[in-house]
Amino acid sequence: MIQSKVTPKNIDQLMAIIQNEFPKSKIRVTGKARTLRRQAELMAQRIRVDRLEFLKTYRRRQHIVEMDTWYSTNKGATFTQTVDEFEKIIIRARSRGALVSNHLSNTARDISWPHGTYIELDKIEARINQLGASVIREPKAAGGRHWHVDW
Amino acid sequence: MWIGKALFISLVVILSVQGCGKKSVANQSKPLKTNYAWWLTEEVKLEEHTTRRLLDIDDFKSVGGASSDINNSKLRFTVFSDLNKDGIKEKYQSGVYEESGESGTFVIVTQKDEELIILKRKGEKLFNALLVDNGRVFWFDCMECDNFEEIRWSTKSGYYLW
Repeated sequence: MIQSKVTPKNIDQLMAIIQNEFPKSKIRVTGKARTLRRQAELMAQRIRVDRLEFLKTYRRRQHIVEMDTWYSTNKGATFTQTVDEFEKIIIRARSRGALVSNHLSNTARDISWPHGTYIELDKIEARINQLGASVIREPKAAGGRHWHVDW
Repeated sequence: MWIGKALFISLVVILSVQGCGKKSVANQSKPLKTNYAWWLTEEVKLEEHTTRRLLDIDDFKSVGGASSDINNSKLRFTVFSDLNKDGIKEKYQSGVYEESGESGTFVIVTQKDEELIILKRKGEKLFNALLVDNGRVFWFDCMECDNFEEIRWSTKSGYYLW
């Protein structure tokens, strides 16, 4: 295996390096992050359907309080208006460094379970770690086993 | 004559060196390409004058390995579950749409051929499929991943995504 000396600038470059260095493992990127708009749509939908369950689902952080306050004082707002406002709240939260959702991160990817022995899998994981990312192995995921890579 | 021979050898050496140099530069500058699974890139085409298409395994038959990927997965384009607890299972089918300049994916819920609701997700017209687990219905936009939403039903709100 010839290791690349390139330093990845983002998660996709990191995955390209891994795919290039471990071609026999036949790794492919299988899942990308949710868009910010989609996250806002989901959260708007959830609070409109069941506010109490929304508040039970999400930890009481500043952005959740802001969403709840806005929703409670704008009961007549349309779905699109709610999404627009939630999108702004999410942008502000992320600029403060808050984690809004694990699915929102543009520095994470799901990848196929690499082909190879467990020793080879460990080598791939070690190399991913060396490039600055971490791996969660999800062998029993409902949508199919995969690795979650966070950079 | 030896002058001609020397010139010929020099020329060969110069061309070889230039060739090596070019190859080396090309290799260094060639950007690495990330390999994405087909379900993240393969757009489904709608037939002319239609706005919706329910997905089928044949929609991806031109993609190498797609049929076995789908067959080896637990995800399906059509599933059944009784989310509304009326004793009759509803049919959930995934598809893609494009209308009024907007495109995306959808799930249509029907019962006895009656359309109950269409749930939409704006975006590209890509693979999306469903999974039933203990009667719960999950809508995925990929395989071997965790990107999904749950389809739920409540007396107050009807069908919704969570």
